Amino acid sequence: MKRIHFTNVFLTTFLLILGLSAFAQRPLNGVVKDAEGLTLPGANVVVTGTLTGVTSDLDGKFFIELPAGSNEIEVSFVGYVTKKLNVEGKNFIEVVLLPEALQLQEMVVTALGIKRESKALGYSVQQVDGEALSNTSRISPISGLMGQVAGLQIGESGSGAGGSQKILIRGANSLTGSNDPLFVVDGVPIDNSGGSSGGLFGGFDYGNAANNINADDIESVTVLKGGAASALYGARGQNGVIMITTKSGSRKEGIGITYQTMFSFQDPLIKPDFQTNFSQGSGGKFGKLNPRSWGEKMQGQSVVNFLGQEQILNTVTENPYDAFFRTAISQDHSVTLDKKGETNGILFSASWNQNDGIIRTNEFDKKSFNIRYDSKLAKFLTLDARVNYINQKAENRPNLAGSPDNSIYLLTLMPPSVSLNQLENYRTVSGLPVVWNSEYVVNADGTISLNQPSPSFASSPLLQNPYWATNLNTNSDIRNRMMGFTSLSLDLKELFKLGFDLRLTTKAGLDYYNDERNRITAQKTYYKAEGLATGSFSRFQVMEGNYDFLLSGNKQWSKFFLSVSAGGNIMQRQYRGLSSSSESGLINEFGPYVIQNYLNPIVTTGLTNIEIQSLYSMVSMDYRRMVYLDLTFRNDWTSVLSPESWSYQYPSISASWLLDETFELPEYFNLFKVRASYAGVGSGGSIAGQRYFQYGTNANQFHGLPYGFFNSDRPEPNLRSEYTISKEAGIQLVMFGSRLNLDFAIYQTGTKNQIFSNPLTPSSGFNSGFINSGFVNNSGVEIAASYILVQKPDLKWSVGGNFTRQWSEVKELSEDIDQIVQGGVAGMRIVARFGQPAGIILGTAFARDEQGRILLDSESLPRLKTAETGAILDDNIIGNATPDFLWGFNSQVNYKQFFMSFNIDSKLGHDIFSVTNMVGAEYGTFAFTEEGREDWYRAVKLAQDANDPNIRPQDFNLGFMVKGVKDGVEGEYAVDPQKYWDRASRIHEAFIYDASYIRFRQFSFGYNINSKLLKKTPLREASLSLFANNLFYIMLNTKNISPESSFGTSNNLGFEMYAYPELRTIGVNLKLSL
Amino acid sequence: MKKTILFTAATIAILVFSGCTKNFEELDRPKTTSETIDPNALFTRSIVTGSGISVGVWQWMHQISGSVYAQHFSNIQVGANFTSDNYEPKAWNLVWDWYYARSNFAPMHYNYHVIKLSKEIENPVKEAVARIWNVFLVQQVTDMYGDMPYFNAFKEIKPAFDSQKDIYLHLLEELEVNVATLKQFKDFGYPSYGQADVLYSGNLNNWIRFANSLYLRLALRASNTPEFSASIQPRMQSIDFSETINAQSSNAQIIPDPTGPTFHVKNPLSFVSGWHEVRISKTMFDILQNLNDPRLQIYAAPNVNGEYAGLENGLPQSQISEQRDSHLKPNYCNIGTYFVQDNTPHVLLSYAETCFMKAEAAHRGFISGNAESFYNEGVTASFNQFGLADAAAINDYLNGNAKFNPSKALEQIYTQRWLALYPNGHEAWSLVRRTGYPQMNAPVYTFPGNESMPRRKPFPDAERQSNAENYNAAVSRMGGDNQYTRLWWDGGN
Repeated sequence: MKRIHFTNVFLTTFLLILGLSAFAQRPLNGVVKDAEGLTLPGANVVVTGTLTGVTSDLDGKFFIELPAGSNEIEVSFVGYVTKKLNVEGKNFIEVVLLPEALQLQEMVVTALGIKRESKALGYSVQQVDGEALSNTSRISPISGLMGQVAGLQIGESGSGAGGSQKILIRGANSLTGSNDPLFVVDGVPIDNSGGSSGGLFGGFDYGNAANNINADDIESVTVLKGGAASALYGARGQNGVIMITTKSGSRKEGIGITYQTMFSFQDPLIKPDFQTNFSQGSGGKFGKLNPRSWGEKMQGQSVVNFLGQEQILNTVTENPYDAFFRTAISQDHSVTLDKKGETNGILFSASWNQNDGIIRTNEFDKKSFNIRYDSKLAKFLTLDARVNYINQKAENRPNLAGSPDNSIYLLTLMPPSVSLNQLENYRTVSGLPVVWNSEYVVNADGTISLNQPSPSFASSPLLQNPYWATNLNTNSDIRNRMMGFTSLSLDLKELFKLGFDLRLTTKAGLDYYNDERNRITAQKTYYKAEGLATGSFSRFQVMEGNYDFLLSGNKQWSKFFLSVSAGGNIMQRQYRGLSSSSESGLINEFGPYVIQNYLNPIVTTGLTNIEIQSLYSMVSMDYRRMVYLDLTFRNDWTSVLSPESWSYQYPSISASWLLDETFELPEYFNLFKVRASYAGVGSGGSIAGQRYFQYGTNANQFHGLPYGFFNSDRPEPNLRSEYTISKEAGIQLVMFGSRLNLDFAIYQTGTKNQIFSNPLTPSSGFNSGFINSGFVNNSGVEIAASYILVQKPDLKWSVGGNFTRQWSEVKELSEDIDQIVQGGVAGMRIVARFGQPAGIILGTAFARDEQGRILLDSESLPRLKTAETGAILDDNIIGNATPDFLWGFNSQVNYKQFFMSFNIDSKLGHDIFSVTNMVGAEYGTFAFTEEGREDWYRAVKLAQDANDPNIRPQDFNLGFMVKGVKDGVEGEYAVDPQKYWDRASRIHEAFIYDASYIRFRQFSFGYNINSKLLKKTPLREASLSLFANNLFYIMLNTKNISPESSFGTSNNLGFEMYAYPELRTIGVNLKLSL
Repeated sequence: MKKTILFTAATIAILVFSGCTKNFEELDRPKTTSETIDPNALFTRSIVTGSGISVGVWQWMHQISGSVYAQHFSNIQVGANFTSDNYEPKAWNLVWDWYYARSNFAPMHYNYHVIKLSKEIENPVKEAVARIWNVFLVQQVTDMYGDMPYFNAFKEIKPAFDSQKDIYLHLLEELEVNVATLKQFKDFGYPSYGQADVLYSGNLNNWIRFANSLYLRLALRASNTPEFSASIQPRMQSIDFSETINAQSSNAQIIPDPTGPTFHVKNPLSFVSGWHEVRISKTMFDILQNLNDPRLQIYAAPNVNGEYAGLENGLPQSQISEQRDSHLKPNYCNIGTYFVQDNTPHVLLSYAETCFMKAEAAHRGFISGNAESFYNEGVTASFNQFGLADAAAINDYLNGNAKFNPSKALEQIYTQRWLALYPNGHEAWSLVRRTGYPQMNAPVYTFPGNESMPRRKPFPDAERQSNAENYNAAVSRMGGDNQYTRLWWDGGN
């Protein structure tokens, strides 16, 4: 460490003279230890400002004579923070040296797998230890990053075992396309598509592909946030990069064997509060065929129910969620063996994960095998290779969103007077569905027969027996995936005996997966037209190859360091699919659900190719390790754009300056870095074949005749590449003996010329078409801080937090479009509008007067906001889906053998629209619809008893009290709650909730078994921990749903539709190492 | 040394990479589709989707709009989509989208490509047939909404709206031109669409008949406009109205495919009747009963007591919610069984309707011929269409309350046309809008401020939002965008 001590020479000379002049000396004894209490032999002890110095002996002890007037010593040791101590009046001193904080020496893996010193970087990088993930989130390692990284936003989709997450780094750049960061495993980009397809008519969440990785294989995860960090990954890195480094063989003595196991239980954290007092029916009268729950109060009366049975109506005591769902159980086992030899290292791991979801038929099973081998083949040649095989199987993933098989939808609609055990026998003798709005008789033997002419299939509303939905309308998927790479690194310096470092690395990476997805709706399913069975059986394979080379050289002059790299990459991605489906029912109704037993099977094939070729170079330099400068330049050629635009270039520049190395700063600064970066990232988009207008054919569509078809999206041959610009500036401080770590960043990112499929006006002939448009400006402030509160041999207590304030504004839209619809459901939409924040929620709203008071119509019901023409306006701004603040807080305590940590995460300042609540209100199944019911029915009775046509129920001022202005008079007016909620359920604004929350996200507590105890066993290390995820909400403003519910994992934040409940996980983790 | 290596590496890399982009275009070109196609398979799709047979559009075009506005049916279903019987105003998104753009349906867009491709293969017969079909499609849409993008639709991202007047005049011209083309080239040996033409199996004479019947439909609809006497009526004189649909066999109709792969090709009425969402309107019931019309037993299925009863239109949703299963479903009449069979033809333009149009045209002096005999021919054709072939019974009917009365001729002709159109609610509504016959009954409950029968469907949100400038121009030309804005042929601009 060289510093510019301008005054050093002078000062030293001065002190020397001073020292010589003082002959009186006094002795000082001491011992040097580390934080663990172990003595440090060979530590340097110098009297400050003198040449007097000694080193500690083998026991860490030292003896030094202090010149008179000298009261300060400096103790230093390689790898530890140098300490200055005042020894005035002391004869003995114990010096505890703290290791130089990780952040100081920390090597982080940056773009292209280049390890860099964290402090050299001119952009924000945050690294998370793999251990932290494998302890708490072994099933979906990605979800373990939640709340750990500033600016990283993870939304859980709550969609069953093996489901996916929505990941955003520094907000959404793309308005409608993917905002997913790129996942790179050991330098090889992997395909993370597949996530959720929770569309309006249902769908399944097939999980992020990145979650296929075994959590125990992860050494560390680095989140590259700024554009400069990811510029070298090109197009796919424009939303940031999540780099996963897997473990390699490191055990030097014997064989390292580690066994880890985990058991956990999951339960819904938030369940709707159902109403329990009013039966199926309408207008306060019981109706066994009525789909709604506006019937009479249940107080012990007897009725004949839909099964033709006498039933006593009573207040319901059990939440149907408790009866229908089970506690999910998952277990996970993994074994890792590793060995590091003289010239090579090997690691093998195998893991098995099994998860039974809360839906009784939902199961998930994943096996993963991984081999990593590295070898120094020659002095100048190193080989590194890894193969990972994953086999994953899921049964009955939950049907999402608007699917009539969605259990949440079915439970939301189910009247309190119907109990789940009345539906458990879900099939009649003749194989028809048992649904609670048709008539049946229960036979003597307990079987059920239909007691009406015929069921009306596909009748509105699409009700369905939840047991039929989960037992007969099944889905399954199997994935076989191979990921791997081989890398050869040639040390040209060694080979050619050069005077500078020069290395050539070549790498071939392959990610291949083969998916089989089957989905069946059984014959006679209630909501299917004519009750015809449907089936879809698809197979597809995705293969992505990445082939790169990188030539890098560097040279250190006395004060100047230069590193130059140049490389190239060819990325080839191929999708091949074959699917057969039918909506026409079975040939043999009693036969199996296989494609040959379906009428009118339709077979389609898919084949797309994408290739991106890239050349890039990077220059890094530093001056006296004080000022660092990185420059990158990249050129991509992509096959998805036209020849005029398929080549595009982009640069990045980043710089950092270590003030602590430059100036004489107060002692308590261990690191003081300022940094700034600017980066551009180009992208050609990822839609193959979109620029061609094409005709296709479908066989056998009408009386055996074929149909022709053409593109459903309007092709646009002249698309240009997208360009993401990110700017960042920041300060990093490490202070007080590295106990405080503070990182502050301001950033601005945005993508211009975004390529997306935008809604088109129907008279263009297309509902959507690809265009270049849109520029969202995301800016924000990120603060990440950690502090070691206590650092003692037996006790270490640290706290950390991160905070992000983000602003997002739509700065540009092309002239062709007025707004971009990002998502929506039931008439409500999430859109980007010029000059507005991204993600505003549009929908129908209450009509209000100038004072903001709600206007009521002649029936005292709230009016909908309309245009002057009388048309209902459905594009009122009623909320915003983008959070303003994200923050997280975490703390770790290690006391002797015990360790404990917790983590709080929070998002603030955004809204969510809830279809579940809207429908629960309309159907009268949620508790909030009980308000005013009894009063209203009493008023109806009073009006009847009055026997006067002029006396109406509303005259008694009993019922649901609506506040508003009616005929110019403000007041509270009594209405029938059924009518109120019927009206309100058409006003989106009534179901917008503040989605701000603070959640106790994660807790773990564990014990490392004392090494003394283990000495008698072959075990080297053993630990047992208890963990919990999503324990409770500290702050919650949504009703009946989780604020984190989402519709899918693409651009669909801000609204939910029958979202599966967020799950609370409690589990135990055991780790044994030999 | 370093320079040499770097230079060499860079040179190799550049050579390798620049050489590689050669196959990019081939790589990106779709492999499962093609750049051109014979128009036949596109035409089949255009006819089937454009016939409106899919229950997906049938409900929106008829059941929950035309059929309850024109009081063929009364609504007995609850939900936000079922309030048109109470005249609740709304933007009509689905129908517009269906005809223009809906992926894999969009009959007008498909037909646009059929015309384009048949031009490319220089087949005047295929082109003329597709252009006649286009007239049918466009009229369906403009009669619902009024102005619409026509001349530049499918050519631009934001096409301008054209006035209904301009559209109508052009459609009539299209019929004239393409009938002439067919007559000129029909025997030249150009391949027709053959079986892919699911309307007429390639019979070009029938296409000429269809075009001429369609001409009558358009001309009469425009008959109250100033342009009619100025330009349309004179042009009508050149049309040979002997070549119109003249038998059940030349009805423009398609037969549903009961074993088809999707519900979009099956009989929509069988779904609707199974869902019990409508009952026969009291208006329809009363008219049939007053005429002692045997079609009552065809149009309506008896209630649970084996009796016939018509339900008042516009019951409030709260009443439907309470009484649907207990009272409305059992005591009123569902759609008659004739209409819910797997193979019941889906009729677009019938022989019977053609006769009633001729009766009106003759009575009003637009064409030559005797109104009464056209009227009688129409009643007979309608009876025959529904399997009532007993000549004596028809004769009785024509001499009963339905006997042609020259002093009430138009009312009778309109009423009979309205009856014969059943269950085509959309055309019935157009007829009632233009003629005021038969007289509609006031619904039991209507949304405040919406007491009278809607005159059009408000434009879809998508055009208002994504094509604002052109939308606004159309709205200001039409004088508004609500359900009471009058169309050009209904006295508007």
